[in-house]
Amino acid sequence: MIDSRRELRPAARALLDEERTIPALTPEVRARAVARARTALEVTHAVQVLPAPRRRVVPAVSAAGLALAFVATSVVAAVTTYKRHAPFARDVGPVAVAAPAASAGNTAVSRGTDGPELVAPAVEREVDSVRPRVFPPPRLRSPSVDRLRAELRLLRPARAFIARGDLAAALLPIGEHTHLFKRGLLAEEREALRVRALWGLGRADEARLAATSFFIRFPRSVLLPMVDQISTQWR
Amino acid sequence: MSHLRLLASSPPQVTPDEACLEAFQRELNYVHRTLRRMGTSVSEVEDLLQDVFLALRRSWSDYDQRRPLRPYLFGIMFRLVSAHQRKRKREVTPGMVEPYDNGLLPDEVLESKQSRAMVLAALERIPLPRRAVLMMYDLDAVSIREIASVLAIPMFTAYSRLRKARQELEIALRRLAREADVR
Repeated sequence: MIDSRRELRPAARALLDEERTIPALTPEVRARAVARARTALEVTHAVQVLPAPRRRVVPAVSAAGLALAFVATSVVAAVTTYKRHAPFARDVGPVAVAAPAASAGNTAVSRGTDGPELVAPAVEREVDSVRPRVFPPPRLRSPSVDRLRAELRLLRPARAFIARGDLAAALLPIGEHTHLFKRGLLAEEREALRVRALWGLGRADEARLAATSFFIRFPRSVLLPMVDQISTQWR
Repeated sequence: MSHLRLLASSPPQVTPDEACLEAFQRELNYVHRTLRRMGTSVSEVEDLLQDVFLALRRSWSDYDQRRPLRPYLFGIMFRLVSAHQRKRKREVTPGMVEPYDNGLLPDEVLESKQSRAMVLAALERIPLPRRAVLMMYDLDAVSIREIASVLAIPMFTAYSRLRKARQELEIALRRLAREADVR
């Protein structure tokens, strides 16, 4: 057993001890994470509520049924044919099957003997090969979840620019998001970022307008304190 | 004769969604810090936070609520970060630099004089499978048995990874201290 105290030098141990305490997140990051989690819950809930995709299942089932019926008919036909020629096949061996004319004389001699025993393994193999395989259920990919990911990708640079203090640059991805996802799932986060960027740039009138529209549009937002904090600065 | 009995009202039913969200909020600081310790850049950490929540919600019914949540969350994060790193390795060619990956934020640059940033930098030099064991054992105080179970590795492997990770951490810390002295 390893002794955790003995292995690390005291200096490294002290550093790790300090790192053990977890710093609290800023209210802004926390609010954003919670807002996103709530959005994700709404999206996944909406996906669960959606009715089962019947249109896809019915054709798939009927196609599978038709295929099975076709294969079963083929198997029966193959078995019948094989039974008819089984004694011939047994006598001449597998090579002679390709050249039936060469051994035509032996046909009558062995007809009616234990043909089915020879047939059975081959048929079983054939049946095994056509037995429907059980596939795992397909993984559902909802368009809403994909869309959420696309929106997240778009807003990531906006957040990074704001964190860096490059507020003018942040407005570009924000505008792009507005253009592509005007009423998107992350519209709430986008508008909060917009207020922050505009206010930081000193465009007070636009920031005020954006904040007012945010309050009207998202009256119960978890990002409300953040926007409110910004807006109190100009009151 | 009828009697009126006062019945204690049943506590409000908490849905799995609410329970999961509540647990996520409670452990948000831990999740964020652990993702950073695993080497996730500042620009990506919030997206991964979201992924952690989605994975937690998906597996919430499998989670045994009598057991501590942090090791369970760690397992989710470890798998997500591993997958993320693999994906990045495929997508980012050596000559390419991610335009928005700014590494450390200004306040973290200031913090870099302090020990926390030094530990983060040192951890980053340890490969993730070994780093995960070190983080769980030395930072989160999780037992080796639990670590082996969460990471789905034999206990012997967990011990050997821990020993190797500690050596690598000390080497990394020494190097970082030397680099800081040179500057």
